[in-house]
Amino acid sequence: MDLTYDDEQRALAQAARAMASREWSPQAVRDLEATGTGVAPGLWKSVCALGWPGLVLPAEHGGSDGRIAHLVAVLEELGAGAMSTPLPYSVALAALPLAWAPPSPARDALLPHLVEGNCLAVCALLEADADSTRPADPAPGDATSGWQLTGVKTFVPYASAADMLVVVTSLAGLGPALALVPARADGVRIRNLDAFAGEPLCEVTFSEVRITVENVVATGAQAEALLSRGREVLAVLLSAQAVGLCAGAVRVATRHASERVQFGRPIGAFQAVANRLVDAQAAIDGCRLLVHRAAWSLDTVTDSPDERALHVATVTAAAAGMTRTVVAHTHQTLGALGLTLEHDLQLFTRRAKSVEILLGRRAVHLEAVASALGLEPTREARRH
Amino acid sequence: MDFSESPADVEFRAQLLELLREQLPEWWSGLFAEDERIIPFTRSFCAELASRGWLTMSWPVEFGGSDSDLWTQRVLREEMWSNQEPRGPQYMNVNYIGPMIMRFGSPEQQARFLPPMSSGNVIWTQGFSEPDAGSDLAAVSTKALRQPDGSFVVNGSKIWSSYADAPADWCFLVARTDPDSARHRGLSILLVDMATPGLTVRPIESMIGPREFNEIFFDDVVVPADCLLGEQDQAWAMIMAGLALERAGVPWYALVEKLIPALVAHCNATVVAGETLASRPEVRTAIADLHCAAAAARLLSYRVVSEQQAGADATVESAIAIMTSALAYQQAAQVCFDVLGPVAMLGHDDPAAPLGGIARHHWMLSLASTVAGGTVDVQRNIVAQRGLGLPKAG
Repeated sequence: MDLTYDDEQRALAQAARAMASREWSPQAVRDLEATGTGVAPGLWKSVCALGWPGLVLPAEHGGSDGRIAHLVAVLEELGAGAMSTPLPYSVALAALPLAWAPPSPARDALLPHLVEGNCLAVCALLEADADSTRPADPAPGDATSGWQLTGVKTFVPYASAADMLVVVTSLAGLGPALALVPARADGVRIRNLDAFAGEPLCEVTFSEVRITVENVVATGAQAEALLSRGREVLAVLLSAQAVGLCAGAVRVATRHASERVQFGRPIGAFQAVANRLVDAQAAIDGCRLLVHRAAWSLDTVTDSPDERALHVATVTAAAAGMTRTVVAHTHQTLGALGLTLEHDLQLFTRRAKSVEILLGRRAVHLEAVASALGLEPTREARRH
Repeated sequence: MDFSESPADVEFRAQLLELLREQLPEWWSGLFAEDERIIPFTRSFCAELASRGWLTMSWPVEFGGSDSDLWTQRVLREEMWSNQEPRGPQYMNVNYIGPMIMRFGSPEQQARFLPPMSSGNVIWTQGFSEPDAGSDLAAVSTKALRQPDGSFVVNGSKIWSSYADAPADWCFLVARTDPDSARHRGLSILLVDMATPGLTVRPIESMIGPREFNEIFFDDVVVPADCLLGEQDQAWAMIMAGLALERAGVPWYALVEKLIPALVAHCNATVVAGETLASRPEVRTAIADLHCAAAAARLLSYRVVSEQQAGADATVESAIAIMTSALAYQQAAQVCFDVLGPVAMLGHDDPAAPLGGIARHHWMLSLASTVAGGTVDVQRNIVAQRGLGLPKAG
């Protein structure tokens, strides 16, 4: 048992921190957000040069065979610098599921480019209701002549910056399916939603988009399993990013509390102010360890699937709680100043809140925890 | 980062559970009940642990211990506390008083005081707090005046001393030996025989039960010169150094993690107004939320062990661990009432009491968890000042 970073995690965290301080700044965050593109070319080039898109991908596809625990170390530091990148989404819901999927020409051709980072793929997951993940009706067509996709996917992070979409859909004759659709295919329309997220969340409209069996990378139970596994990874990666964003927010608030003088002393000298920041830090520290515990569960085979499900549900519920606590306490500390766009706090607040929301409803995670703890959902007591 | 348990620790935990299954009597519900069997049982349990080499396993080999790994000590701590601490008052000997004597005592003091501790045969109480000196320990005013023959005459009183009425055999006393001193200067640690004339113990009734709180009155109590621990007037430095000996604190999270499966089983089996407690949304949410708090608290406590193992000081990490663990325990106590309703108020002698009447005990003990051994407010000050770098209050 050792809850300190190993050498690789330390090195990766250090590299991410160095990149953040060398190439990034609150102004750069603002400038990127103003473009609406979500990806700063210079920054993404550095991210690729460091091998992060392929960090956890298998070596057979050119990746580094790294562990989720390694990518977590990177994402925390990026979060602490308010540096939003497509990494969690492109890795967890695109590159990894494709790597796990059976070989096929389209998938085999795409994977090395995802690993290199010269092609960006994200997953179109949520239906128009922003809750369900598959369309009510399968797309019409068949394996011989292909299918026509018509519908809407929403809150797709970075779709407007993506080259390829991994679409979670249902196809007549095949059932559940994961299909590769180029972002610029005929009939695909992408627009950035007006959300406060600080990174592009997009609505993707499909108007009779033609796909064939060549576009399909997985079907049926396999498609469900790949997606489910990918979502577990996403939960851990987003929780890591949330930890970083919250740590960045507390750093901003602590600096303010040390400098802002009222009633003859820095406001951080008042216990009421200090205590809130301490509670925020304690929530961050706890969640951070839960992230690593869940990452370890994904990386090793020690835990049973039920135990792994419990760790993933626990960290997502904790991350949501942490974000609410940190946002509330940091804004309380910063007063009116913290609400201004000129101040840096809101860069962290909006991103942290958006990540928390995209993680899913806290109530749903708590229900998953309850289930994993063995609380039986049936109203009648079962005789054992 | 590695979250695996060593096979040795897994085996040790299994052996401890087996021992507890064999040894814990069915009437055992912790230290603070009205039952004359409690203290004698804790003495025999400590002797049993001692015979297996488990009582002082954390001590250095030269003092009869086995220099056990911090992770292994953690296993012992968790299983003891989650079973309401059958080591009784003597856990303080093992965790703090013995180590202080090892660190600052003379060879004669070590030879005299440590063996009864390692054999599980002596009860100590701490004399630190006073009516005017709680969190502000430097306000101690109990006097210990040095006499020409080297002995000390002690006058004053201590309060909140747990287990003084067990009865305790010895008292680990902080007193002011320099009459002209103030605050943290001029304090000394004396080892006081509780049978000394002039010493009176008065139990304080509390919600938690007997033995939790006592007053100790010192009326011209003579303490021999060879019972001064370390250097005279140097208690503050020794106490500060001693804080590093007991970074872990009480593993309240372990009590919570033992409570949750019991709550789950009870909720699955209990039908109220036509439905199981387990099917109620608010019950599911409350228990799930509690699990998240306890899981985080446990890992934060393990972080302290990790940091110490790596040679770091872990002051701030310890403060966070102590705080989150105590708060998780308070949350657990509240969840019991939320989930179980009024029957949770019944004591363990009432057959209608759910979970053996443990809920109300957890609640009362949880009120102490955030004030005992350093309040969470003090812990927050430590994190604020030494962790976040915020300025001191005032």
